Amino acid sequence: MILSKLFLEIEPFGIESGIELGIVAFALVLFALSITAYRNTRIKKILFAATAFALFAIQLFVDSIEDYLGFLDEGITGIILKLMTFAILVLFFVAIVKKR
Amino acid sequence: MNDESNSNTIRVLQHIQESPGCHLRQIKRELAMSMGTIQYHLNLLEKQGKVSSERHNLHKYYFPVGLFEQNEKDILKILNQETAREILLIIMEKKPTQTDIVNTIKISSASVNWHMKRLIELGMVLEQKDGKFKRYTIGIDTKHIVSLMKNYHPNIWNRWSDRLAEMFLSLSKEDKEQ
Repeated sequence: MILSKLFLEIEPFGIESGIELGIVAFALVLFALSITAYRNTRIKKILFAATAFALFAIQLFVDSIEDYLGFLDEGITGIILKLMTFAILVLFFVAIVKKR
Repeated sequence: MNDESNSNTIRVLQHIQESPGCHLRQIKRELAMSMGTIQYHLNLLEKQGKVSSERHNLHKYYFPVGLFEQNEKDILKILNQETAREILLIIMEKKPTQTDIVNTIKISSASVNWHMKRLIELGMVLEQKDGKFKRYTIGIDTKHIVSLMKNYHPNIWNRWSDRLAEMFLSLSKEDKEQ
């Protein structure tokens, strides 16, 4: 009874932020994996993917700050976040088409 | 140093020469000596420049100095990669062509080609012409490679990063086998 009440109180903030935290952590794991892969192989295209993973983590972080704290200008943040999404896709594209 | 201590140092050195890439606990198990004694002899051998060590995860691995000359560290890096190890095992088993390797490991030819170039550059693998194909053989002492493979293997992190690299390698177009 007490537990379910507590769960209802922390929800939805708890679950949503938990998932977001998980996504950021996962993006950082992928970033670290790509850096290890680059260090082992010295294939430059992996660096583009690593930057994309890092940018993805930063984007989610900025988005969360904007959602919870709301001190940033919504219009400007929106543009920055969209530009980040575009940059992530461009980086993956370069990683695919670059020869090595 | 007395005779007993000297003979123990020689035993430790011989063990590392026979089993390059072994770590402290393995040496302890094989030689049935106390941890402290082995550590003492290992420090001594490192100071004398007869063995070198490489820390990897929780263990420190010991190698006889000069076994692979300049390429020692690069060879360890190669052995830390899952695909390169698989390629080396295939080459040890038979004299394969690049197509044989691609068909056995089931990864892209661009990826196999990239690994082969690295292995050839390090002198671990030799390339021989056989008609219109190229066949590959091991370029350094097989016994040492097997021993290194047994003792020095990739952890899960390196396996995953290796697979990530494979993924990007397979996206590269590469010249087909001659």
